Amino acid sequence: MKFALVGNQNSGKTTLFNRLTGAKQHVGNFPGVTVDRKDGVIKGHNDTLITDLPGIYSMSPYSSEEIVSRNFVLNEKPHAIINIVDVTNIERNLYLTMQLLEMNIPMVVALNMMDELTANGGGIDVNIMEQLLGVPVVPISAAKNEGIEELVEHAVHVAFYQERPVRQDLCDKTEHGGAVHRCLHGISHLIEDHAQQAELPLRFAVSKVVEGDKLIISRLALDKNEEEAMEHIVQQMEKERGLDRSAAIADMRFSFIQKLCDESVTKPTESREHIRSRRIDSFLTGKYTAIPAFIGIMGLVFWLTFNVIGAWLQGLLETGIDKLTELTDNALTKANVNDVIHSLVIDGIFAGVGSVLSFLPIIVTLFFFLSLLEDSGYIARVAFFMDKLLRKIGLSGRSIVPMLIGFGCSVPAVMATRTLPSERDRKMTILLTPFMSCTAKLPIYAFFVNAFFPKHGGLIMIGLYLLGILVGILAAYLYKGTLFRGEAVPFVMELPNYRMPGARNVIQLLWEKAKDFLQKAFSVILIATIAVWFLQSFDMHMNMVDDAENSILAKAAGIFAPIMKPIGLGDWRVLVSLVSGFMAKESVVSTLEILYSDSVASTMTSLSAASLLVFSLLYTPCVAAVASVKRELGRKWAAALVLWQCAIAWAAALVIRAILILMGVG
Amino acid sequence: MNTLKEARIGQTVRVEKLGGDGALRQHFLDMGIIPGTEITLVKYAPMGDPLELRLHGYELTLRLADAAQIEVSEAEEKKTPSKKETRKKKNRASGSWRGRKVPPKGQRNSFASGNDNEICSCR
Repeated sequence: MKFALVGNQNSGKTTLFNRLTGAKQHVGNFPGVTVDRKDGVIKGHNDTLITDLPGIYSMSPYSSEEIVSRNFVLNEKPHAIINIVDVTNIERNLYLTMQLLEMNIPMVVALNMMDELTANGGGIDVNIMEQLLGVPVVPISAAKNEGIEELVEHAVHVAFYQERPVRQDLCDKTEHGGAVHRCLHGISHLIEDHAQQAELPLRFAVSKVVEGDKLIISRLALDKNEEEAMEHIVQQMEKERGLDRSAAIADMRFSFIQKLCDESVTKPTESREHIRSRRIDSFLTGKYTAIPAFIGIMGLVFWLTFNVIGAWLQGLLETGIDKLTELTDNALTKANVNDVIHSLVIDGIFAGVGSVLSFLPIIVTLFFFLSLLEDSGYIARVAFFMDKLLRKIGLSGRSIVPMLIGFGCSVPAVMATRTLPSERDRKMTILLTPFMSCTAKLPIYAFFVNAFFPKHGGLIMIGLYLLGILVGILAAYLYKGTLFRGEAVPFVMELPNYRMPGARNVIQLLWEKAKDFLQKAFSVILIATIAVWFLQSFDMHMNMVDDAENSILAKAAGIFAPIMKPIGLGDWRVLVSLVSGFMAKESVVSTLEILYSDSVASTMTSLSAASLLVFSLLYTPCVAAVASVKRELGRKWAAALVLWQCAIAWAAALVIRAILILMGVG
Repeated sequence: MNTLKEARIGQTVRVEKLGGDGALRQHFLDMGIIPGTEITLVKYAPMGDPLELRLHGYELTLRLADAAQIEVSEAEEKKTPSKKETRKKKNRASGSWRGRKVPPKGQRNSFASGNDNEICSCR
């Protein structure tokens, strides 16, 4: 049995999905579009498949999420819909419910956050609501795991017996002279056959036709006469009702909801959660406090990640890896293992994968904080007060979210652009994320700063981050003036109440990230380190070399030397490490460590080091990031991005080098 | 008539007319900005734009430029429900919400109104 989980954003849908499916989830994509799709089996019901549809407010085709959800329900015909409704915000949530009823598919309404409502003195008479809506209504609390079993029972029940919504006719015959009612029913008779032929639920088709939804109208394939008759009916209604067509339909829905709530809902005066949110907001989005608080919070997150928690965990892991390397090294020597194998294991695999693996704690810690910020509702506030600033570079406040995530890792950043409602904003944001220096580049900075500029370490690190942002802003102006002319889309966004993020959701997310990273470390990076080790240990005649300068790698990298010479990076070892950095940024350092047998500081000037820092800040994102760009924007854009970033990096490195030479450095 | 852009902080206004067109207008409607709706202006963002609004019991943000398309009039003072009314409602909502039972088999009789799928009542 197929189920679809549908609900507003911030209604606790992810929490409910995790509750329903446990760990058995499959993450994928909807066909043809870049919207996340999660499937899972409901616990205890092995013959079920539930799909978590993106969080939406309506079935109108406004954002790609809404189109995806609508098409899923229309085309894949789930056996039943589970509609999650946030009872602390019930009116707007029921607006979607009203539209789902029109789909004529068995449905259960899950009233989520019921505990919060009752704790604040509110309540819902479930029986009355059930009567009026014509579908089963089950109060639950996804966060507290209450009512989930009942919800599943009801859902399986309606799906099995195919109990469709009893009522779809929710327009009031008496209200405003019944104009809307007459219009809907008139059109209903007119298009009945067409809807049947187009396999569209009739009532849904009627509403969309009245609203003027072009996608549905063309799917109905009406002839000229019918279209004219329809237009006439709708115009008549507009005249009688005194509202235009879409407003009249929306008003009809909200009027029904109003009546429904009057009958069945006791509202709390003002919920504690809302009072708390208002208090927090008076500081976090206050006129003078918002920006300093934001800088403070982000600073704290990065400080905790890179200096305290993450760094501490990293230290632990590194010690462990060093111990393991030593043990293996000794064991291999004792066992008299062949020199080539010994070198492969110790100099290749352990050195390479080990240095990358030690980065796991930092990445997990950063994602931990970012998911706290996101789930608590703070990121929405950041979008709120950063909107004006981002609009200057042609984006909307929403783009701040993927960009911030970009400081963690470009892959989820690119994926997070899916929440943006406009194609233009999405593309532009994706193209800007590479300028946000990701955590994987940190070992490069740390390595060179330690070796060359130990006294100004912090300053140079911050400088690099700022340089990335600055170049990003310049690039944004360029994109705005050329590729993406025009205005950013309007900014209409909900500011949800602040909430305590659920531990389960956070843990599930961290687990996914850690798994993803480990998979990368043991596939892409393992292969890369073995390949690099092989290429630098053998010469063209497949003999093992004593001096890496005679290796295959040195010869191959030499091709790029003339291009990179002007920015002081003609050394083959640097070139090789940059090439391996395309596989994963972390391996720039591991490769350099393999290639420079003695200390880097003695073989490289600080001028070249500065060049290398700037170049690695800006050049092509790693293969995983490029792959996700390709998934979002296609092959052409991804290829162009690689070349374009390399060109920007080269130019920036040249400028910095020139400035430093003029200043008399090196 | 004024637009929402001219509202004062803390003021509650009533939507009279919604401008704009196409998908965006539909989106405004879907978010509950419908003629007749009462909207309270909560605050401006620190940089003066966008606005934070409260309507239908939730917070929404909009830019000034979009707020200028929403014509509003001053809303009448909200009357607070009398004590009697509140008590009446409270009673109805009492009782536990936990542990709902599934009807044993087949059609649930609570809302089986004979017509198994009533789309149009005019037939």
